[in-house]
Amino acid sequence: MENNKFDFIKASKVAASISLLLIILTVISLFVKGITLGIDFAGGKSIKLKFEKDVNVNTEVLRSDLKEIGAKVTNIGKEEEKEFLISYKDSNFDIRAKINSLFQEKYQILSEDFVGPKIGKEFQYIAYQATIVILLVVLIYIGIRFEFIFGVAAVITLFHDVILTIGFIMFVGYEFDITLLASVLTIIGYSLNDTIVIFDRIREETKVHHLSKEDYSMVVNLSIHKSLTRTLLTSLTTLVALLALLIFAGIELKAMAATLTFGIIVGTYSSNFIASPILVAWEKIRSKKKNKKGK
Amino acid sequence: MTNGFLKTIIIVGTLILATVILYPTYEWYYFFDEQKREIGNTSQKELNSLYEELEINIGNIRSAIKNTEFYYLLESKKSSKVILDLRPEKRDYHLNLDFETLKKIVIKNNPDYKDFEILEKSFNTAKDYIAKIKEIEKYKGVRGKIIKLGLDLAGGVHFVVGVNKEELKKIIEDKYAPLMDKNKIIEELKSKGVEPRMIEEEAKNRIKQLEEEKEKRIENEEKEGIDRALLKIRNRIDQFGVAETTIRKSANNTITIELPGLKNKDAAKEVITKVGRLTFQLVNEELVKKVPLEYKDTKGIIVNKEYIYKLKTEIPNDTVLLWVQEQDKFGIPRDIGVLPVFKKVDLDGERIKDARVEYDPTGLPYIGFDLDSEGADIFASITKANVGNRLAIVLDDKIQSAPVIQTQITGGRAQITGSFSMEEAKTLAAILRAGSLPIPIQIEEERVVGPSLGKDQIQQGLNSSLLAMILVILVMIVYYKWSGLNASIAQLINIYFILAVMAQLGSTLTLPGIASIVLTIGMSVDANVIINERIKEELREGRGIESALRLGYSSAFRTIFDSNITTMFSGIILALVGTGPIKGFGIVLIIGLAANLFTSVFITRFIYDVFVYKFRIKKLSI
Repeated sequence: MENNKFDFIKASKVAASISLLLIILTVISLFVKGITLGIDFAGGKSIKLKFEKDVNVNTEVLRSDLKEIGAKVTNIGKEEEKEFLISYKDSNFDIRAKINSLFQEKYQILSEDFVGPKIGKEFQYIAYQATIVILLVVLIYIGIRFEFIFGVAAVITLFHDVILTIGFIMFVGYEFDITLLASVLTIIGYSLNDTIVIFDRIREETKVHHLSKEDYSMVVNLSIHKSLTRTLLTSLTTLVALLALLIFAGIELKAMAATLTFGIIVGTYSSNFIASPILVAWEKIRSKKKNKKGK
Repeated sequence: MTNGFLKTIIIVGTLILATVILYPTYEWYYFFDEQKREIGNTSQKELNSLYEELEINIGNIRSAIKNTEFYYLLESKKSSKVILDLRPEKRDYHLNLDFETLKKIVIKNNPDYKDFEILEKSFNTAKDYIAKIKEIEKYKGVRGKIIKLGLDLAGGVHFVVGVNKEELKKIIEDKYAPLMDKNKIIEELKSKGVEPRMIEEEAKNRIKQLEEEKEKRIENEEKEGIDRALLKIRNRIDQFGVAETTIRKSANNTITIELPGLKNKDAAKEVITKVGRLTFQLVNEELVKKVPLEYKDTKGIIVNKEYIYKLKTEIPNDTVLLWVQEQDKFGIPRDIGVLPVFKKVDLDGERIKDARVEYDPTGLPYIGFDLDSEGADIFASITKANVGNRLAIVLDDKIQSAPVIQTQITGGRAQITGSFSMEEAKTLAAILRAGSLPIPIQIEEERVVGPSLGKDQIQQGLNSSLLAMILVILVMIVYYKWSGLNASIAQLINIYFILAVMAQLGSTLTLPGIASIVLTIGMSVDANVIINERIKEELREGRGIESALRLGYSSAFRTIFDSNITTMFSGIILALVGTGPIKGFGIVLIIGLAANLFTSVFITRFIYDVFVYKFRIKKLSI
């Protein structure tokens, strides 16, 4: 084998333990704290306002004025632009009347959303359903095109990426809404793509080298190395594109851009450090079993 | 180069096709000013009223000419240029002549005609309207072929509504409560002469039966109610004058309503949640009799449009012209003609207790309905006085059916017979039930995007996509030099194709759709990175350009195919199970990845081939 400076398989043991730790932490905090759902999923109302320039208003003022309904107030756009997003759960509350009484009519409504509890549940159901079906289809397709274990490895990797991304969203404190769901789905797409590209390389190299089982880890490592330029270049270009989104987008798309950035990095990491080593681990178990039988 | 000619044709052909498909979009957003777009956004309702005005004026001209042979005139026998076309069976009228010529035609055919002043006015108005309608139809035609912007980008109102189950339950329970009064039942049984010792038992049974009936009704109405609500909302939404409304049944017994560009959401909300009203009104048969036979269909409904517009102006005060409506097989209501009905409401739909489809001994369906006791009395007196006349069943000012009263109906049990199809009978029964039970509608989801926010989002979307594109192309060119440029061309064509397919499918572009395009750009970059890395690898192993390209592409293709197909699967699943934004994301993803396979593999290879075989380059810039 040529100069494989870095052994991904060896390093994967450390990587896998870190990942496992993070996953456990995420799952625990999911149960303890739970993820904050945006009104798309939890139901509720939100309103986007733009005040006239001479109105004396800021996030704190609005927050204390709207204390009674526990409204969440965020400044969107630049500070001096006085654009606010207000979201709250009590859908019977007439926010426009309240704001009118506080600030006369010196504002403009940019957008208004209301999601009833039924639809929120529906969206949640769709999100779960879509994720599960996608994972199943991936398992079956890769299982057919490659080997069954490749499918399993891909699905485990996707799980890993989704959970860590959710952990990231929780940690940063974003509200999980439809836009972030779209980001998670995009991350699944990218990570899957990354994983398949490397798997394909492994499939090819295995054919070329006709190696004995002990050398499988070397083949996998070689494949990762051979795809490395591609992996890094693709991730880099994608991150560059996301940079554009971060620069131009408003506050809501910023959450999306940040989540995507995190997800792309995790996706790239996992297809190298998680997906491929699973294949090696499985191969080891299989050959041990065979040896036992042989004896 | 193998099959070079064929490949050229395929690529040039698809590019031309995409350009043709995208031209209206380009025209609409870049060439048209605000005014032209406004004209293109004219609602069907406004257009219909223009047609109506036109009909009246054309009608005047027709009655002046009198001779039907002169409704259609060509410039000369040989020429095919139409100078006059007033034929009633066509809506496409022509008045390509000056008034003096028309005057001559009228004098020749109708020497007694005197009102030339009125004729001139009608002539000028009709000419104006023809021009106006032509313009609207033209711009509307362009509008029909463009990529539309979703509500999040263009601004507008989006509602999801469903049946308010709690309220529905309450309404039905209130309806059944008086029936289930035990004392009343006992009295009724007594009066029927049931044995006293059996009465208690019998009453219990009766209440139990009613209880079951009530539960079943609640369950049914939850499902069927939404269909009635859909019909009602479709009928009413017209009045907003919004050019492109979407009203469709969506998952879990809900209705999705989209009103692009609408600003006053409160008015829309009120109309949507307002309860529909069903009434019985007598048809003014005397007036119908006066209408010449050729203007009516076999059921005696007035169908001649020109006549209808005339009739509207000369109708008596106590009567009103209402459209008779038919549901086509997709459940979309269609106006077939009008009937004059008396304004007086003879019976309110709330008097209906129940309605259902029943079958006569030969198996043909008919509709049976029951009235409450007060309704039964009113019905008996109406039917007695009007045997032989038609009684119109009116829902929200549209006639759903107008059966002939055969005999006096007493006792509150009536039947509507006729040659119904099963579907028609079901719909009519449902409409009658709607009268008895107004469906309470509640808003489940509501999204309003103001036009200024929409504009901001379009700008943000465009800016970030553009910057993303430029940065990606820069990276590609810096890293791969000329081959990077080749890949960039493929990416641009990819986006072009996505937009063309979207325009062709009539899909709308939303924010998630833009996100999906960005994802596709990423996949497209990746495909070319994979290809270029493979080619580089082959070159490193000392192969010539031709074999390096061949081997590079063939091994890269397998990878690209697998990864694109798998990602496409997730797109398909999202399009299938998702609603609204998720669905949009999925659809654009499917289109984008399919286009990606074509552009980043087929087109880049073609460009390489042109340089290798045509220009005989010796070294690959990669």
